[in-house]
Order: sequence, then structure tokens, then C-alpha cells
Amino acid sequence: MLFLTYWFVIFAAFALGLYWVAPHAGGRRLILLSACAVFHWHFAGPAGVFPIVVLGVVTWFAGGSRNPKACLAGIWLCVLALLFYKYTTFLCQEVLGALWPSVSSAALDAAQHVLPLAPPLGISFFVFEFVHYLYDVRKGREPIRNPVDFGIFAIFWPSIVAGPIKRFEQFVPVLHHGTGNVCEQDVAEGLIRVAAGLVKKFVADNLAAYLAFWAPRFADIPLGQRWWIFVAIGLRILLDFSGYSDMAIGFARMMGIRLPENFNWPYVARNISDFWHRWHISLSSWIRDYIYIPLGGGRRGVVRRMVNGIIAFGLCGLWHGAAWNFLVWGLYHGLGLVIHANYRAVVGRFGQRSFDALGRTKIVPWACTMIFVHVGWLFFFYPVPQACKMLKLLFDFST
Amino acid sequence: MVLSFLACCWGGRLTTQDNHFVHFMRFHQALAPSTQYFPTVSQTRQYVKHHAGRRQILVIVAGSSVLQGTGQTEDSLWSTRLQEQLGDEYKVINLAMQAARANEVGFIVAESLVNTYKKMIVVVDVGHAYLDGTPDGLMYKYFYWDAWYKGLIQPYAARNARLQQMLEIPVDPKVRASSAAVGIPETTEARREGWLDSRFYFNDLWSTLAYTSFFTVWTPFSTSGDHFYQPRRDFPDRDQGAPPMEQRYQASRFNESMEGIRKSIIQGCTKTAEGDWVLNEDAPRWEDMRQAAINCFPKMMREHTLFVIKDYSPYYTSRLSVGEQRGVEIVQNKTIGIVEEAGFPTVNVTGVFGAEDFMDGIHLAPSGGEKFATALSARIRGLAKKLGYTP
Repeated sequence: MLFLTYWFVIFAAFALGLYWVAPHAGGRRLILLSACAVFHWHFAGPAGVFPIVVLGVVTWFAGGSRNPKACLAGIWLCVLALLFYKYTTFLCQEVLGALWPSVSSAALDAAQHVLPLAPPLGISFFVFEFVHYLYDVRKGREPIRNPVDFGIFAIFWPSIVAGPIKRFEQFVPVLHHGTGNVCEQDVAEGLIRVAAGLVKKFVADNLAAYLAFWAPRFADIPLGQRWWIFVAIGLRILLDFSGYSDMAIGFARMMGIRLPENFNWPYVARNISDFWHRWHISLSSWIRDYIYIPLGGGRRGVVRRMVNGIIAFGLCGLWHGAAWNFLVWGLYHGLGLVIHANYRAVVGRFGQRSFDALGRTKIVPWACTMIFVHVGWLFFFYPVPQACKMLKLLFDFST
Repeated sequence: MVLSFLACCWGGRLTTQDNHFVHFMRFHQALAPSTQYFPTVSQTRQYVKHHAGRRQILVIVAGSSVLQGTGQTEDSLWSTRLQEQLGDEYKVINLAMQAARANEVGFIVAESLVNTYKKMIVVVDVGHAYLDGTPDGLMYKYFYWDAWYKGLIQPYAARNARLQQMLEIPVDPKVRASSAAVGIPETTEARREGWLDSRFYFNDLWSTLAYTSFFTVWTPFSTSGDHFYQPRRDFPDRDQGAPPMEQRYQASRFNESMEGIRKSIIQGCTKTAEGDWVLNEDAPRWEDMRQAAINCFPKMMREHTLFVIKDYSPYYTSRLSVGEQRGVEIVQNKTIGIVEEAGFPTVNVTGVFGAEDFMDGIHLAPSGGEKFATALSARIRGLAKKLGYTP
């Protein structure tokens, strides 16, 4: 957690201090850009800075040209970079390994000479933002003309590591408004938001330590404790992720810049569609706008809509990590959304009335949604066989 | 918000003025960074100042788990036996910490008190052909920088120069990742922590509250009956001591233990064509140790820092070949020699232990602790006389 390093505390004190005392908006934006560069250089290192600089420059020029082919080429370059840095090992080991074992080990050896120890900092986020930028420019949106604004959009330090995923059409105006109008109210509210995020992170870290200890002992503990762990897994990821988002939004607010909300009480959702309107909102809307809709969305019939939804969420799952369990988690949610969107056509009138009656109780749809989501978290965090075993043990009433 | 922050800083500063430890015998598991409790230099100094009279000869036990007494219960702790044997003229305080190097934790506290306690002896342990050369320590860097930035230890040119040298060497990302994986902190972050804490006292505040009032970090340690949010002073010393003889020296660890001993021989000796081990004067390990002795221990501390080397458990050494046993002896003697060259007094506690005196290859069981205390008390008396502390 980069925001919890001492380096960051000293960095934030200097960067925010300089930002606040800068006499005008243009100066603040320059200071902000410099701070973003320092932040990124420190945490990403030279190997991590190289890809974002290259992709950023390509995106800037491709977008600036407004040439559709250039924009498309930029999109492909960004996607290939993400695949290379994040998925090469997975593709070599898991996919190629299953199909062509002899080629797989040679490919992996070759890749490990070229790949850095870890994917570049924030690559999943900045690639998505660059793709969105080029896609929208290609569709006719006005590109960012000011290189300082673009630079800040590309490496905005509060959100580069873990979101929210920004949209340039919203970000640039709030950037200009914020740098020109930061006030004590923004600083105070931002600080409170950061503090709230910090508290959530502390609780989440405690839960993580607890789960790391007890989850491997799942088979040996009482049933009640297993269900508590089942709940704690969902609680942990919500607090961890929303806590980080709170801190990102809070730090941005301290600079007068309002980032979009990323979580909206997801665990009050009463159906899976509602859940995805509340959970990691910036990601789900990105998936919708840049994968689901380009694939055809719901415009080409029911079957195509279902397939598009499952593909979009499968990719959403893989975005979270290069492993099969993330893909399974994504497909699981994709299937859930498909079922939610289409079950009424299948269950008939009696079924529809029954579901409507249950729906009016509020607690039943909520409980079903939560169980669905929390079962999904088992697949998110654990390898598929272990997740299935844990699920089975939740209903082992002999313990 | 600002006022609250300043109040916390002031509160933290106030906590450095008093002793908070109660019934402190050693840094047991609940009072160690391994279970997320980070004692500060100020806290530890206050404990020493509260319990050791200025006229007493202060004996600070520093170093690793061997001197911390892993394998001994609180009641059978070797440093308590040492106190009994030395009498009231001395005050023995055990500040050793698991995995601590000779220049960490207890040594830092001793260094910070050297001008307060004119009669002081620090006891540290040294491994066979091993003396860590990291000036700010390996596992407990925060402790060094806490002392440094609060002005509790004095600049020492060789140590500062070595630190500067190490900071200028770019860290290989793989080394950084593997160090992080085993919990070894980075010097740069530890420095920043120390610098910030010297101004805002958050570690002192937090550590005091964690000891006296409440704790907020869950650890697996707290699964055994106590609640994680209880203050750490409520947690007893849970070292159950050495198990019965038949449960020590597990077969699964035999090879690893033997390899560890053999590795120390290889690091300091060469094997002749006849299969004997002879001292290798040019082994890099000896020069590393010489540099460590110079860089990590200020000159003013050396004459009263007593380095202890002792045997491995005879359970293992008796299973070495005759040549390997000779190699162990050569390495022991050379280790002592290097430490003495740097100006430290030493004590070589060998030949007094049986297999039943150890819990494992290096940690002493209560009976071994008793013998260890006896051997050490004689040496400490001798050193105290030499230093002019006693007539």
C-alpha cells in the first residue's frame, strides 16, 4: 500500500504544500505534474516508467492527430503492452503449457529475460485510460491539447495505482476547476475522506491477516467460524478496495479535484445488476463502454447479448489478475448477470409472480445477491479447487 | 484536526519520559516486532533507568534469541540466574531480541546510556564465523534510526561512512523483493520513519498505548486464548521452555542443522588433500567480520562489550567427523581472535555443555542456561575488575 509508506507521507506533505501555495492555476498544474512524475518514478522505477512514457507519448500523438487509424493502432499497442507485461507468464505457463508444453518452457525462459520482476505500476489502470481516450477521440471527441493536462491525466498520482479509472472528458474540466479554486473546505473534506479510507484499510489489513491464518485451516474449524470467514472475505475486499479509493478521492479533493465515486454501498444491492452499479463503478462502466458495447451490447439479439455479457465479464475477471480463478470469477458474474437479465422469460408467469412476491420482501433478494457475490469472492481469492472445497465445507453440518 | 494531531504528538513525547514496562524480564514474543509490537528506544531506556541504580554495574544482555533465552521459561531464564550469581552490585537487564544481531536493539540502548551509566557491560553473542556488518542492523533498523534521529546515540565516523556507502549502492530489485519477503526492512524507509518519529513521536505514542491500553493489529499469536485488542502487558511470556529430551533434536531438522555447522566450517577453513580442515586466513568471511567489528561498534563501546561464543549442541557436533570437529574449533578460535583484535573482550563458553543442555542446535535449555550463567558471571566479574568497576 503505497500511501502507507513514510516516503509517501513526506512526499504528500511537500507536494500538497507546494500546490496550495502556488499563486495561480497554471503553476499548480505544473507542480502537480512534477509531483506525479516524482511519485511514479519513485514507486515504478526506470523499468516501470518506460512503458507509461512510451504509451503516453504514442497516445498523445495518436489522439492529437485525430486519425482513426492512428488511434486504433495506439489502442492495439496499449492492449498488447498490457498483455505482454501482465499476461505473458500466464499465457506461456497455463495456456501454452496445456497445448504445447515443449514450446511453453522455451517461451517462458525467453520472456523472463525480458520481463521486469513485476508488471509496471498501475499498468491495468493507465492502459484502460489510454484506450478509453483513444477510443473516444476516434469517435469524434476533442482530444486534450494541453500536454500538461494530458500528462496529469496519464499519471495522476492519487489514482494511478488503484483507480478510480478516469474519463478525460470529466477529468480535465474538474482539473481546471480544482486547480483554480481549491479552498479550505476541499482540504478539510479531502482529509476526512483520507482518514476514513485509512481506517478502512487498517480494518481490511487485520481481516487479511486473520484470513491468511485461518483460511488454510478451513477444514479444521467449526462451521460457525467457516461462515464468519465467508463473510469476512467479502468484508475485507470491500474495505480494502473502497478504502484505497477513499484515500485516492480524498487526496484529489485536497487539491480541489473531484474524482468520480467508485463504490456506492455495494452490499445493499438487491440484485447482481444493482451490485455492479455500486461496485468498482469506474471499472464496470469502462467494461460496458469499451468492451460490451463495442462487441454489440444488447443490439444483436438475446443470445448475442448473453455472449457479449459473459465475454465482457470474463475479461473483467482476467483484468484483476493473470490466473484462472480470476477468469472463473468474471465468467461467474457474467453468467449471473445474464441470468438476472433473462430469467423472467424462462420461468413463465407463475415463476414471475413468485419472484415478484419474493422481491417485495427485500430481504430475500438482498440475501440471494449477497450469497451470490460472496461465493464469487471464494473464486476471486482462491484457486478453483480450493474455492469449491471451501464452498462444500460451508454446508458440511457434521462439524 | 490540527490540534488533535499536535496533542497526539505531545502525548507521544510525554510517553518517552516514563517507564511503562511492568514485570519485564525480556522481550518475549508478545513484546516483539514479530507480533507487531515495536518497542522504542525511549521506552526501553526508561525501563533501564527505572530499574538500574547509577551505582550498580549495569549488565545489558543484547544479541539474539540465544541470549534472549529461547528454550527457557521466564522462571528458568539464564539472565535471572546470572543476576543471582552476580548479586546486587550488578543489575542484569535482558534486552536481547529474536533474530537480532550483536549491534541491534540491546546494544543500541546500551550505547545510548553509556554516558549515564559509567559502569556498564554489554553482553552480545557472535556466531561461528559470522558477525553482521550492517551498521543500522538487519531486522530492527527502525530501532537504530529511532535512536539516531532523537540524538540518543552519537555519530561514529566509520559507521556513518559505511551507511553512506551502502545507501549509494543501487539495490537490485530481486534482492529488494526477496528481502521484503522475509521481513527485512529497507534502510531508507527506516530512516524516514526515524526522522518523522523524532518530530511527531507517533511510534512512542502508539507503542505505549499498545502496551498499556489497547492493541489494534490482529496476529496469529493472539489466537491462543487472549484477544488481539488486549494491551500487550496482559500477555504473558509464553515460552514453554525446552520440550522433554525425546522431543528435541527432531529427525526432520537433523540434516539442516548439520549443514549449518558445516557451512560455518567451509566459510572459514579449507580442506586439505588429506581431508583435514585448516584455517583459511584469506577467507572473505574473516575480513567481513573485521570490517563489521570496526564499522558497527563505536570505539567507546568496545572495551565493555563482551562477546560470547559458545558450542553448538554436542548432539550434532558429536556426529561430525574428527576433522569437522577440529574445523569447528578452528572457526571458534578464529572468530574470538578477530573480535579480540578489534578490542572487544570475549568469553568462549565451550566444553561445559551436554546434549541435554540444549533445546536444539544453538538454544540452551534451562540446565544449559544455568551453566552458561555460571561461566559468564566469572568472566563478567573479571571484566568489571579490569575496567575498574570493582576493586
